[in-house]
Amino acid sequence: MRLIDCVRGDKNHMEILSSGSFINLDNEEKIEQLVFTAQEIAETAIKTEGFEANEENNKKLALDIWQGAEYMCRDSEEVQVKNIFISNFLERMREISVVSKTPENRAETSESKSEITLTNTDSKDEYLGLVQTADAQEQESSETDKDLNESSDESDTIEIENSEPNTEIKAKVKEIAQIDNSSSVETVETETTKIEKKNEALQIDSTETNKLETLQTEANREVSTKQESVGSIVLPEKEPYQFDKCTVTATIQLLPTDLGTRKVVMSVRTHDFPPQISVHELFGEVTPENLLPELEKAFERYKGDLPVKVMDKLRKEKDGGKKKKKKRSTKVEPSETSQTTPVNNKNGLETDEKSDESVEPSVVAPQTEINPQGSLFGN
Amino acid sequence: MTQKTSERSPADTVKNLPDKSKNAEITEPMARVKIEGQEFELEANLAKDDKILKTVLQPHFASVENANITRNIKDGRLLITIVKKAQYKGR
Repeated sequence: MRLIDCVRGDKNHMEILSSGSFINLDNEEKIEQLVFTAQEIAETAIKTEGFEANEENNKKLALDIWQGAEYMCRDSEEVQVKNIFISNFLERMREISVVSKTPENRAETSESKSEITLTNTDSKDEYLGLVQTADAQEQESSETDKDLNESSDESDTIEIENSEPNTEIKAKVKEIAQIDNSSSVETVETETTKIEKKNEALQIDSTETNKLETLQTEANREVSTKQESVGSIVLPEKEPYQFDKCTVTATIQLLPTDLGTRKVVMSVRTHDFPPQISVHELFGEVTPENLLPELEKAFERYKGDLPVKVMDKLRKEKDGGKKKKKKRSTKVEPSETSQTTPVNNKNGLETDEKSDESVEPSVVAPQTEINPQGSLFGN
Repeated sequence: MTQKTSERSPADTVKNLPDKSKNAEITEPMARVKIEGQEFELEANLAKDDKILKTVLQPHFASVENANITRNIKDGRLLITIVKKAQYKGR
């Protein structure tokens, strides 16, 4: 049975993240919910019967729960989110285990005797210092109980047997008890101070992690802004007929080698002009150094030929316009005899080819005005 | 550089002149190519074979891939006319 399904948080204050939910570092609420869920799960885990609160078990449980939760994260943030969950889970487990242990220690030390000492057999934890494991505590508690029973028995026997040494024994017992109490108090105090220090350290660590997270988020934002601020290249629709101010398309094609030589086809083109294609032969390996001089020659040649191409293009456009005008003039003349508007015809002849559309309506319009039906029926 | 006739694609409707006649009649080193309403000169060695011709013109004229290529020789100069071929509907 999954712990996540068992845990139900306090809905008034914070909700537990359901499995499969998306978590991102930018959303602080989600991070807080994640921390809350980790802590709640830790509390329930300790309360479950048969669970042994060890470091190894805690870590394993945390990893299992993380895998079972199947929280969705960005690839770049997954590690951080996982660390947040696991660290908070483990911290809560330690806090609960420490709190549960400290009142038991006090009860034991108050009743214990000189045999209770901090031995080297106790396990040492990084954060909590000298921490007695559960087994050792049980052994000690059993030993203390036995000691108490024994001491009580002994004291009773001593009192019964001898009265004079009884006072001495009592004094000694009192001294020992005082020493034990003082030592117990000291140990408790040291433990509490250590716990406090560790909590402070954990808080510092958490703050540092938060700082790191903020720095990382800021870095990610900077990267995204830099990516967004990349300029876009805009080409004008009508580029000037200058080699330096227009788009030049150059291609290099390496044909298969034949008898040790390799032919290179270079072509240069601008605007809608036909490409200027040239072929060269290279001996040996084809390297950019070998290609560069030929490419430069091709560019220079095209640069010199570009004005000629432009002039040819303009001439063709003019010739094409003149031919169209002649055609239109032949069409207009038979319609002029039926009309009495010579002025409009002159205007039509003088217009350029671009205004052909304007010529036609100016010629057609008087026809429609005078004899619209004639124009439709060809009269 | 030799080109095998078997390497030509079946979609090409090329009307090539026989090699012998080419070598005998073509005297001009530069051929004249007409494509998409433009005319320009190209080395005759590149214009003799369809595959090389398409390879050379492909970067500038994408329609040459499935175009009809016709060759003629006039006054020792090789004239090439390339007419693009419309694909079937839906392509």
